[in-house]
Amino acid sequence: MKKKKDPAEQFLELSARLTGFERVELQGTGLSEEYYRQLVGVIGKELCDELCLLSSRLIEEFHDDEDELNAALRRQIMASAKFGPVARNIIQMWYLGSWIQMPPGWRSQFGTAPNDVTRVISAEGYIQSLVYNVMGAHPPAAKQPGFGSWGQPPDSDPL
Amino acid sequence: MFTAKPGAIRKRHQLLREGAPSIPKEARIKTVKALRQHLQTAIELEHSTIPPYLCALYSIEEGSNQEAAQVIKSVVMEEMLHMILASNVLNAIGGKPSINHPRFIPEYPTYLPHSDKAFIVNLEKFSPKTVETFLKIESPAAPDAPPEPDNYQTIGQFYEAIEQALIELSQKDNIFTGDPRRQVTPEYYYGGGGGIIAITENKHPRVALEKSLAALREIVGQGEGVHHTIFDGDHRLFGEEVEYAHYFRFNEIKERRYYTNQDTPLTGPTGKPFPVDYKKVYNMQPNPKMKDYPRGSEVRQKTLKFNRIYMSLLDALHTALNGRPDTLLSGVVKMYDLKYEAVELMKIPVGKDGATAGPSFEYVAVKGR
Amino acid sequence: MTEKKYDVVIVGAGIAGAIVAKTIANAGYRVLILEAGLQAGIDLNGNETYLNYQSYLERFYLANAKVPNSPYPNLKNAPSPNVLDTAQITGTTPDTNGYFVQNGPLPFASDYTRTPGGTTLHWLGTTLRMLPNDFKLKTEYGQGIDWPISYDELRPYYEMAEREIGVSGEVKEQKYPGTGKNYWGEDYVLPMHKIPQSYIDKKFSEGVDDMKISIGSREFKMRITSTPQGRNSTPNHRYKLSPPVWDPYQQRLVLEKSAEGAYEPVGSTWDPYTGQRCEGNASCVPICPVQAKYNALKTLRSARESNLEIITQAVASSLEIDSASGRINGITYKRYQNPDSPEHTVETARGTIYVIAAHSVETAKLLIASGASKTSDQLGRNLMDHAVFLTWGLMPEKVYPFRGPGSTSNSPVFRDGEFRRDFAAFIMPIDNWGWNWPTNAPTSNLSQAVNQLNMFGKQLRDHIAGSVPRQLLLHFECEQLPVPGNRVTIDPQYVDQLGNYRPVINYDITDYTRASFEVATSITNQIFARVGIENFSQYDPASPDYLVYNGAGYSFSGAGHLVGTHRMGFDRYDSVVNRDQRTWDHENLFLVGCGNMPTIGTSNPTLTMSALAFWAAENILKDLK
Repeated sequence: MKKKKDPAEQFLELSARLTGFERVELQGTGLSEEYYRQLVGVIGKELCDELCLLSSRLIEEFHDDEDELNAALRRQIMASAKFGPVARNIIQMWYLGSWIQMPPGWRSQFGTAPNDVTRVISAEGYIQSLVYNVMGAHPPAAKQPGFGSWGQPPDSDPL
Repeated sequence: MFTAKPGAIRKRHQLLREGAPSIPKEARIKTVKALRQHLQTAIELEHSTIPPYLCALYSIEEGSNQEAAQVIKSVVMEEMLHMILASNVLNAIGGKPSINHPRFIPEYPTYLPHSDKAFIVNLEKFSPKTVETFLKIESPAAPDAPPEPDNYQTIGQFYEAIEQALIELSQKDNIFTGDPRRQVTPEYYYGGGGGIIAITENKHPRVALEKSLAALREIVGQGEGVHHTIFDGDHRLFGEEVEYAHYFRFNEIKERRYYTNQDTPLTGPTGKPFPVDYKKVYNMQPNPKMKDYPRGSEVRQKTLKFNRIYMSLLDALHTALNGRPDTLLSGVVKMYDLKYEAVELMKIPVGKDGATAGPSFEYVAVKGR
Repeated sequence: MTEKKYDVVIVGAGIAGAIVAKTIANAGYRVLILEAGLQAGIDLNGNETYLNYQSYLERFYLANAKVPNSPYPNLKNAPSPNVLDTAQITGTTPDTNGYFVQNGPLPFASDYTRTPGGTTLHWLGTTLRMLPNDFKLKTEYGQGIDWPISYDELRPYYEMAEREIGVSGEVKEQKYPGTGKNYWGEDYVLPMHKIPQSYIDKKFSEGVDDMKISIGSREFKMRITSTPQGRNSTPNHRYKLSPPVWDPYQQRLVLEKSAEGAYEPVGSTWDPYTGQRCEGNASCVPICPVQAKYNALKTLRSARESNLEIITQAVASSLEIDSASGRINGITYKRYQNPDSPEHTVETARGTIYVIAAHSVETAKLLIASGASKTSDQLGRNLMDHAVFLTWGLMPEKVYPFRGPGSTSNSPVFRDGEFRRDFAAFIMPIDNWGWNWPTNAPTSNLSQAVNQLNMFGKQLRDHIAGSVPRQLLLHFECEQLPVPGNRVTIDPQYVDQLGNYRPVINYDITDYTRASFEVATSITNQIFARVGIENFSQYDPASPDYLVYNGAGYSFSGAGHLVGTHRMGFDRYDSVVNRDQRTWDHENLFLVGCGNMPTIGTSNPTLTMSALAFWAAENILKDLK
């Protein structure tokens, strides 16, 4: 029997598609639920549900073809006036640990929220910024790699 | 008034055994070969407590339980130091520490190697039960319980046998024939846990014996290995300026109180409250195994990644303890990686009731070795 | 409260004040420090210290712009300048937006920190000695002025400073132009081995070592060397010196070989085992989370407790000067209890000798406000900084920046030579933090990839992974000459909420230094062409410190090296202090800090200033006997 996924779970699936990270990698930050709450807090539950449902539908429909799925995500989400800026903010939230204020055009069309301001979401959000993982580095002042580590290229998977 | 107070560096308090050795004849170590085996066992023994301590430590949520985390961290640092000290002694008597063989890592849950199998050690999150186990691991020896051969009741008795063998065997012959270049010297080790003692920097066998005994005292004095009598006396061992033995540090967590400098082992800790919050802990499933997860699943891959880092850490240690002490620095770098990976696993829900994955500390084959 | 009299009263608990305080307190005299910053910054017992430092770290994590002062409380009662307030100055009115009142023509773009421990909390930690010719620039090259102290005289004090700070470095690798055989003492080693050089350094050196650089008719051979740093590394077991102590019989500070030998790295102020090695947090500026990098709190912590009192939240506002003798009778300070409220009491501290160690700008300001040291008309003038010119590009392969201390190697080739007749000397550090300084990488890279390049998913991940690890950044830290018009003044119009003056600053860069930007651009082009580095350097005409030289536009930044505002010299008419670091006009007033330095050379000034602080402490001790 197939259980219907809740929006937070759908948000995680969408985040994995948008960021290029696996679900467990995102879960490993411990921030998935917090970021879902942040998103709801700015764009509202209704819009958020709509986005999550749409992405969930696309992921199910194209789950066996990566290229098709990405094309669909690009057409229906990234290129959408409504969802595109939201999706780009989800990416930036995961990569930078910051909420970036939505673009003026989006704000005038879809509304403003008091917490739609550029800000670091939390100390933990900063510490878990994914951009540094991708670079083989770590956020300044967090997750330090130990004495002398900078003298060598970063450890890749030992295998 | 606003007056600057330069902080004192905490003095290390060592618990030293009182009285004569208690090892009965039949339990004695009689050959250098047997002594080397015992020291290899010592290395494995010191290592075997590290994964359980690390699990508890990493399960503590960032920013919470800072006092308890500090205690566990300091104990882990000392266990690592003990591994190196035992290796230095083994290298000094011409042995070769073996760190990265498949049986080096216990399969948890496990009894401690070469113990009397009185209790089981798990890989578990920080909890009252875990603290109880830690207290058992670090429990002082009962003086009236003579050890059977190779079946030591406490780690203390085991080390006592090694000490005695070092003394007796070196009376007959110079046993310190190891290459001094295999010794790990202080510049390669930092971050607490005490001082490295290099055994054979000076080639005189008498100096080497003294240093070996000092190294063993460092191990035993910080750990559990003293007579139970320490509990019965009115020893004043505590206070803010003193780092005391592991048992008492864990006892502060259990009793949720600090010792004061008036306290004795009999009074227990009576000082200010020691804050503990067992709720601010990741809900790690005990004794995780890669085989718990479907083949090819992301979480299995991530656990495997953890184990590979762990393997590369053991490899670095093995190299460091076999003639390349400078490799210890790259080993320390892997310790940091290990932590970040472990903490990520502990945030990934896997079971019912919100239990999470965790570091499994399993042997995995690594290519190119 | 009865008025207590101290042997020495010091203003400022940064590195200069801390060194003087420790040296004098440990010699047996009673010392008072007045510190403008918060009490929380100096609670020296373990737990409070830890929690306060964690609050700095938390503030840093949550800051949108992670600038040097971002971790530290900005106090309305003792404000600090913030580089975020630096903007182009247009029209005829000064820019009063930040703490500085900026008259221009160029805005002064460096900051400092008014908190216990001072600016060492966010210094990078580079500890280069100055070069012998830096002390006689006028004699050798006809530029600037000479110092009344020679390198050879200062050398033993450099050794004291290296002991106090705990310098890591390899003496045998420190070969600079214009240094004779005796630059380092015989067999001298630094307390710790060098901080490992970065992977970037290695890859870059492979590309440029021994290449010829042509500048006009001159030719230079490029060379990269490790940089000495005030951060913890592997102890050098050949280092045997114990901390400097006052010898009352010889009337001097002595640095002797210790019987115990081994130097032990000094860990954090809350736990001696934390920070025994640099752990590669890659955040030295603005905060080292483990305090493996030296800060002045470590010096304060090791001062003799019974002889040192520190009054915090006490902002010195004027010196009481005896009109007949010129001697200082006391220091008036405003003491606040609540950092959010301007409410305060006015109190006076009294001692035999007074030392102002409040950082170049604040020290000059305090003296000007008190009508002190007027004879030479040099007080507040000759403000200097290193003009930092940056060039950047993409290396042909990944070099993995954003790891390790800010910089671990440099090229010393242009630190000294005949060319100093024509253009400013500079040091060329290789940066380890990618394009963060000029472009706010990696945030800007991510933002560009998502918002302009329209990337998402694996494509985005691969793009960042493939490009950002190739980032290379070079610095050119160019010498500025002392210019009387570059100055700090005060104006009754501009005061802070306690009624203390805000610094008013006039600042410009002369052609002597501008010419070095042109040279640096040429060096960059030659290096990039040889190594195959894709040049991305560009200078926005809208950036705060933008200037034009020979028809080309350049931006530069401040280095945080504020020097020269109360310089030492040969007589009371050319300078504020004499070679003893004593003010010419006030017998019992000493100044310490980078403001005493007549010229800046090409070294980050903290080490030289620390050496001078020991030098000053010795002269004070001679007075106290």
